[in-house]
Formats: sequence, C-alpha cells, structure tokens
Amino acid sequence: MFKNITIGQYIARESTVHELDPRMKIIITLILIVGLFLIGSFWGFLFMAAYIMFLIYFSRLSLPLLVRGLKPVIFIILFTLFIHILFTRGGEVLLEWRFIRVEEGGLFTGLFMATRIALLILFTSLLTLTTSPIQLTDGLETLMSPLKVVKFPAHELAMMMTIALRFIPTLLEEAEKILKAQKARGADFESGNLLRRAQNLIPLLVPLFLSAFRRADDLAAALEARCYRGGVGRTRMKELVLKRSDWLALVISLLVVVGVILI
Amino acid sequence: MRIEIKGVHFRYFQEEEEVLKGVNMTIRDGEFAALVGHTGSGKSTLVQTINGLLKPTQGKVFLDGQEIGKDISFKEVRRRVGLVFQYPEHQLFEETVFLDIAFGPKNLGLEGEELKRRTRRAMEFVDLDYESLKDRSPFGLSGGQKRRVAIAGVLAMEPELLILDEPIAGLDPQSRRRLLDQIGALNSQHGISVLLISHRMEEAAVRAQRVMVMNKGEIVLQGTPGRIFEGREKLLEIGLELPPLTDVLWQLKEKGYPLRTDLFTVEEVAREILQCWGGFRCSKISP
Ligand SMILES: Nc1ncnc2c1ncn2[C@@H]1O[C@H](COP(=O)(O)OP(=O)(O)O)[C@@H](O)[C@H]1O
Ligand SMILES: [Mg+2]
Repeated sequence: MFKNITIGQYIARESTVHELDPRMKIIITLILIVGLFLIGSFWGFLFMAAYIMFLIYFSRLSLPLLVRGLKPVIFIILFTLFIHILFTRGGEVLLEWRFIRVEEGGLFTGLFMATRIALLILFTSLLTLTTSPIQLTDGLETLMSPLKVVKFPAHELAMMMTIALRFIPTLLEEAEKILKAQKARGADFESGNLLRRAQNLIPLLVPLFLSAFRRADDLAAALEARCYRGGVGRTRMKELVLKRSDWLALVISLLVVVGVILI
Repeated sequence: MRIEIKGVHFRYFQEEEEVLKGVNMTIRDGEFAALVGHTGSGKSTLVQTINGLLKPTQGKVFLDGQEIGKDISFKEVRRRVGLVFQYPEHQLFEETVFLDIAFGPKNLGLEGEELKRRTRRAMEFVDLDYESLKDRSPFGLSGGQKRRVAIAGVLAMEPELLILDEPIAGLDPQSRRRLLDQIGALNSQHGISVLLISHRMEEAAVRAQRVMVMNKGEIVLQGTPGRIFEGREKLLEIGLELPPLTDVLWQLKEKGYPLRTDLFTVEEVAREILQCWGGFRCSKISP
C-alpha cells in the first residue's frame, strides 16, 4: 500500500531529462510551479498538462508510474474539489437542491484547484524521479550558496533534505512491516471513528519513530566515522556545468509558462 | 490444526517476476516443521499468505479443510495462527512489558484476570520472570529479552500454530540456543505446532521433525532432516549448506569410510564415527 508513493524516489534512466543540470531542473520546476498558480484558463491547464506529458515522454519514465504517485494525495484533491463546488459562489446557479447549491464559479475554481494540485505533484515527482538525491542536493546547495553571506546554512539544509528524501522509502517500508506485525497481533487499523483510529495508530507510530531514531543514530555515527564536518572546504567530484541543452530547456519552459498565463 | 497451502502464487508487482510459483505445503497438527531456504526465496512471503496479510494471486490456503478468507475469517485465522516476524522486537511499543504482551489478547476482547493469566503464562513459556519484569519498560531490556517479550506477545493469544520467521537472527549464541530450546519445549510440552523459518540448515534441522526446503518460490525438497541431508548435491546447488557435523560425515564418506550421512547431532555423529572406528567397518580401509 505504501509502495505507490513516488515522491522522493529516484529512478535511473538514460534520458534527456535525467541528464539536465540539477540546478536548471530545480529552477525550471520552480518556474513551472509559479506558472501553475498564475494560470486562469481552461486552455492554460490543458497546455500545461500537455507539457508535462511531453516531459514525461522525454524522461523515458512510464506515465502510470507517475500517475500512481497521485494516489496518496487523491483525498486532498477530491476534498479541494468538493469544498469549492459546494461553497464557492459566483456566476450562474447550476444546481440547487435543498441546502446544496452549486454555482458556475465554484465548479470552475474547484476544477482548477484540483488540476493545479495534481500537476504540482506531477512536476515535483518528475524532478525527484529524474534527479538522484546527490545531484539534487548539489543543485540546491549551489543555488542557495549566495545566501551563505548572511549566515544561511545552505550546506546543512541541503544535506538535511537529501537525508530526508533518502529515508522516505525506507521508512515507508518499515511502516508496512510494523503494520503487518501488529495486524498479526489482532490490531485493527481500519474500523472505528476518527478518534479511535488515531489511537489505534500508536502501535504503528511508536515503533516507527524508534526505528527512525535508531537509523538517525547509525547514520550520524557513519558520517562521523568518515570525518564529515559540514560543507566547509569540501570539493566535488563532479562539478556542475551548464550545457546548451540546459539553456534550451529553460527557454522552452519559460515560453510555455508565459504562453499558458497569457492564453 | 492442519494448514494446507495449495498451488499458491504471489507477486508484489504486476510487472515483476512471481515470488511464489505455485507452492504446495502442509503443516500437520502438533508437528515441529522447518522451512529453510536461501534469503529471498520467498519464505517470509509464503507465511504471510497463511493469515491473510498477503492475498495469494492464485491458489488457496486451508485451515482444517476450511478455506481462509472464505469459510473462515482472517481475524479467526490470526487468532489461531501466531506469526512472529523477523526482528519482532522492533514492534514493541507499550510502556510496560505487561501492556505490550497483553496487546494481542486485548485485541481479542479479553480483560481482567484472564488477561493477566495469559500474559503470565506467555512470559513463563519464554522464561521471563513475571513479577520482576511486568512493570519494566520493554525498551530497557537486553536484546534477547526484548525478543522474548515480543514472542510472548504472540504466544499470549494462545495460537495453535506458531510460525517464527528467523527467530534467532542477530542474537548471541547463548540466547540462540536458549530460545531454540524454549521453542522446542513449546512444541513438545505444550503441544503447540511450530513452523520455524531459517536460512540456515543447522538451526532448523536439528529440532524439526520435518524440513521443507524452498528455492526461488517453490518447495524443492521435503522430508525428515536425515532424508533432506541425503540430497546434499541439490542443497549445495541452491546455496544451502549442510549442518557442519553432517558435512564432516559426508567428507569422511567421500574419503571412503562407510558412514551414514543422515545424522546431525553431536551425540549421533560421535557415536557413528566411534562405532565405525572401533568396529570392523572402518578398520578395513583405515589410512
Ligand atoms: N514488501 C515487499 N515488497 C516488494 N517486494 C518484496 C517485499 N518483500 C519481499 N519482496 C521480494 O520478494 C522476494 C522474496 O522475499 P522474502 O519472502 O522476504 O524471502 P525470504 O524470507 O525467503 O528471504 C524477494 O525478491 C524480495 O525482494
Ligand atoms: Mg525473510
């Protein structure tokens, strides 16, 4: 059940998207996300969706794999959709029945918001699926390094993020194991009201936190054993260099974003 | 109670190879059986299909002739078949040893005296002192003790069949022997059927009445430990080793000594070698 979560996973392939510079990929993702929030028309969303299909095609990942990553947030998407449909007002009344009242404005805002969230997840999953954690940190760190002037801990932050990303799949696997073990002891995670269910999660959460702490301890020891002491004076094995294709990707993405906003 | 697994197939992902490829297996009432196989051969996956934690993509599992999930509910099966996962101490979560062990029986709806009785009994089974340990935090115990608390947590549900997935992995030699002895006693003295899972022959075989060998999602050999060791070539081929003592017998046999090779305990092996040495059997070809 947890295996479907694609956020934080990396799948190695030889593709144009994989080979782009991580810094550029991060910038492009940010631009696309900003774009997503500025789109105001149906056609805009359609083009944006088409653009991500195009990117997925060039990343040589399978579409079902990315779509599966949406499963865990499907609840949030549907929730947003219905809240808007039911409560946002504006435009013509489409449906009226007892206390339920759906207006045009609500329907469209709902659909837009839901699409926005879905595309947002797809773009960010695409980034992490095509960029190895190491590249991702390198990218983040270089992008944030100007901030070091104001004592911003760019390296530490980047390191923390990589570690967090790296451990998402591990912790999910662990959670599944504990879940099964407690089920074997007759634990019930599926029935009861909300409060009851939250209480029933304790047998899952306590061991999960313990395991996370244990791993953190081990990792800290392993880092120290290799003389890790932060980013000062560290050099890179692979220096990041921007290529023609990176600039090309940036230009195309910018054009797409400007296009979808103006449409 | 008798468990029959009939033609069970399983895969975790549609696009990947099957992990179980049509397994047939029986666990008989009251027996001490062992399931042995290389890491990744599908042992853990197989036993999870027994109590419905994983649903077979094909095939059926029967408990006393009743199909599980159909004639008999998973809840009922989980009560009657206790499954101890690998590293079970990682699932401890309660404030005290008592509460943790009582978690299973509580889920069965038990309370009060009966709950106490079961917890105390489960602790006795695995040689944990009830009075001195019941109020301690499980997290402050030693590795071996934690593991026994976790096993007691399953025993407190009073299962008829106890399945232990690599129960002695990661313990020191003394705790290993002790735990295996206790598991043996559960079977011989308290009549609980046991299925012991291991990737090492010498741990499983020494105590089991019947050994099933798994390789790449299939049961490839089964029989008494002695019979299994006769198939040395086959075992080596699938990456399993004979218990060291049996291996000694094999090596001597290869040198020309007419020894039996279906023995595995120290006493048996020593007797066999001494008999051969002292008697006329070996003297004929002595070096
Ligand atoms: N939760 C899981 N999700 C996906 N694949 C798994 C999972 N558990 C085990 N596998 C795979 O199934 C195969 C058999 O594993 P397992 O049943 O754990 O074998 P064993 O217990 O004999 O070591 C392995 O190839 C393993 O990678
Ligand atoms: Mg296993």
